[in-house]
Amino acid sequence: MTPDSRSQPQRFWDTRAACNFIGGGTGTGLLVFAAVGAIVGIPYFVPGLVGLAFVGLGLMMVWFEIGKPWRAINVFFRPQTSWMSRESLAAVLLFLIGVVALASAWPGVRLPWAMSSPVVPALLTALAGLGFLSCQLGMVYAVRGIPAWRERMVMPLLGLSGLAEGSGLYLIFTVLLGRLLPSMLIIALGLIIARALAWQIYRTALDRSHVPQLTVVAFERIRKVFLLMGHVLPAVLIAAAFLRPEQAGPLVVLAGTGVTVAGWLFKHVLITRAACTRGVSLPAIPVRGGSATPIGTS
Amino acid sequence: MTRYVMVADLRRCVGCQTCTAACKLANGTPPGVQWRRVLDIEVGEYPNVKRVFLPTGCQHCAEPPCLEVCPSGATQKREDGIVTIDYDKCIGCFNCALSCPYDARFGVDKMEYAYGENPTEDEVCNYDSDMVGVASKCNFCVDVIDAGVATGLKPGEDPEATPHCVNSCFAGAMAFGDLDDPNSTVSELLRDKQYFRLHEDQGTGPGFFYIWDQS
Repeated sequence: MTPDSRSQPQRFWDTRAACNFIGGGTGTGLLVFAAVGAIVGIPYFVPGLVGLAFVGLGLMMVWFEIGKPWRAINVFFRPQTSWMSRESLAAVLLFLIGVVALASAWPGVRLPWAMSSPVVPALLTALAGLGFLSCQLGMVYAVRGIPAWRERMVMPLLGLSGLAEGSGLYLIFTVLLGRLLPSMLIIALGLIIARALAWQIYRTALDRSHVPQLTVVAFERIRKVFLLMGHVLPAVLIAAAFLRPEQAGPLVVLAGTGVTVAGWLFKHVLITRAACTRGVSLPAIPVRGGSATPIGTS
Repeated sequence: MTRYVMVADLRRCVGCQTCTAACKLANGTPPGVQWRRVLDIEVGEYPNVKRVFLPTGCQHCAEPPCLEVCPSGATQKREDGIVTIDYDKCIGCFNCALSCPYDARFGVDKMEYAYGENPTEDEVCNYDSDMVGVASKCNFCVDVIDAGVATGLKPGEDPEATPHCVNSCFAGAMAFGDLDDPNSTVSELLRDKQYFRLHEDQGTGPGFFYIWDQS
């Protein structure tokens, strides 16, 4: 088989599409951590609102990208097979539950039954968010024309990155609120380590499966920044925050920013520059100069 | 059953792009959109280099990856194997274009013309503004096939019922027909010759066969 040729960066999804995955992952991560925080009594409304806003902004960017935005309603029509349809339906569910969760967390509003406290609706919103994020992962992996997206590890990597980004933002929120919890720091550290491992496994798998060279180059360009800014530095800063609790605030804000921005950088590259087409592989070379007769003649 | 497929004899293709031009003329595709194109590929390393001309386009797969990802239902597969796009349903998300391992789908954001801002007479006649902002691709000239079949003609044998690219190929390198008909030209060709299909490992079951040697 001849080596892949004609592989080129995909020309259909740009930064706007990348923003959908950035917003979906970060928003979901934030909603998950906001729900966990709500259990221990940390106010839900602001992180819940920001989480939903991230998801909504990401979807709005997609709306700006599609060629026929005024018939976007058609996106719901094939949930049997299309992850994009499923993502849209999951988004509707997420926003319906999310609005209830926000209402339950709004001071002075008293909803009936279990919704009188934000904990249950917040947990349901987090679950709906995870469903939405799962659809996004499925959407990327279902794309058979882009080898970098057809590597299975792309799904755990994207999922972990979304949760890590959300944890980073939530840490910043808890610092601003003066409610920083050691357990949250440990969870965030775990996510940082898990994302670094997932990245390493993903990259190794890509090298094994001989993805287009442009994909390798695109990831190689961000490797150092992604690992240092998004993993090593935040891990060191979080460890320092444990050692010097009196200075934990700024250290954690820096760590959270690094984790989050590095995730955004990775997703942008994954969706745009590293997303190269399969190109052409010829299983055989045509033999010329033989006794071939023109098609349609005998 | 009927399964329409295309066969290209790579031993005969001279890379003249006549099929490309015929397709563009018949379908009125804008600049940059080539439903049928012939790739000019260099294979090997100096001094053992070969040049291969590879007609390509939508492979009308048995299991089209574009179909499963399409969220709107715009992409459909007919019973005769032809994969079509309903341009009135497509939302232009281009998930299908990314999902196609053959890079066979296209899209334009705005109407552009071959010679600057003003359309030629031909472009005025052929351009369809409904195709701006949606995914488009080769449809095996499905309207020609349907019209021909309706009048009793046989696609692949009667030019009036055969895709324009096949009709235009003066090298006799392209054939079209029903793979399920054992007497069709394509069935006979594939019975006697060695052939391959592109990206078989993707499990798409492409309906585009490439003859590369005698059996």
